[in-house]
Amino acid sequence: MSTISIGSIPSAQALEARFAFVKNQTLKTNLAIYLRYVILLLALSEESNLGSLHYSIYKDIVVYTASSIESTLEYAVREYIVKGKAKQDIFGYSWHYSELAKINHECIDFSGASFVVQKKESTYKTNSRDLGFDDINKAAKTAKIIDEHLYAKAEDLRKKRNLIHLSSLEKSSDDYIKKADVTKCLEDAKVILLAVETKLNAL
Amino acid sequence: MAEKTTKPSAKQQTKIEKIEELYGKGKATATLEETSKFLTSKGFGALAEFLTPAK
Repeated sequence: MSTISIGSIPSAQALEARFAFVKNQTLKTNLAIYLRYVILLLALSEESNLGSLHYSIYKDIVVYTASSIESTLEYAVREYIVKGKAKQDIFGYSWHYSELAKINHECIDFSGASFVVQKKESTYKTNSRDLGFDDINKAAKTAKIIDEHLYAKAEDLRKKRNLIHLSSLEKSSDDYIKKADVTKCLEDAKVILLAVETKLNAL
Repeated sequence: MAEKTTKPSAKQQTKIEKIEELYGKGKATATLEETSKFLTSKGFGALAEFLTPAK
């Protein structure tokens, strides 16, 4: 990679300053680190003679960009909850199970098996383990952080990111991303981030 | 009597400072304006518009 490209990458501190609308320092730093890497990948993608390596570079740009949007939208919704502008159950509900009792039976028919009594209760989704990108997009739309138009873009980012599964054992995903897909992804990310910035600054 | 010295209060190291300490600062230190110009020239104007929005 040429030094010209390296000289075009910003410092993480400069990017942190651009995310001033994010008051959570951990997220702000991570967004800066992610975006810096995206810019590096963009610079790298313009280098000549990379050939099929573009496949992996473009995929990584989509994954990192979509993840940044996901975490920014989640943060925005949480800020809305804290400020009383959204209900605590806005992310939806999920089932939680807790084991109350276990009975082992020695008879041959149930060898190695246990009978379990569980408590099953519905609680609203609060943590990242429960929350999916789709829950976050819906909540952001419900809270009016993004409108229908931006929701469609956020969903498009989610679907593009979900095409990419390293661990797939069955068939190869149709994830042959081109530069035009990357520029569309960045355009969508831009309008979502600008909308979130406006909403958070108005809180 | 020995002169009293005031120990500077320890500033908590940020994650970025820790990363730079571990891996070095490197040469990627462009301003956002420089990065925006570069991105625009390569056809990634949308990201440039986020980095340096029109005032």
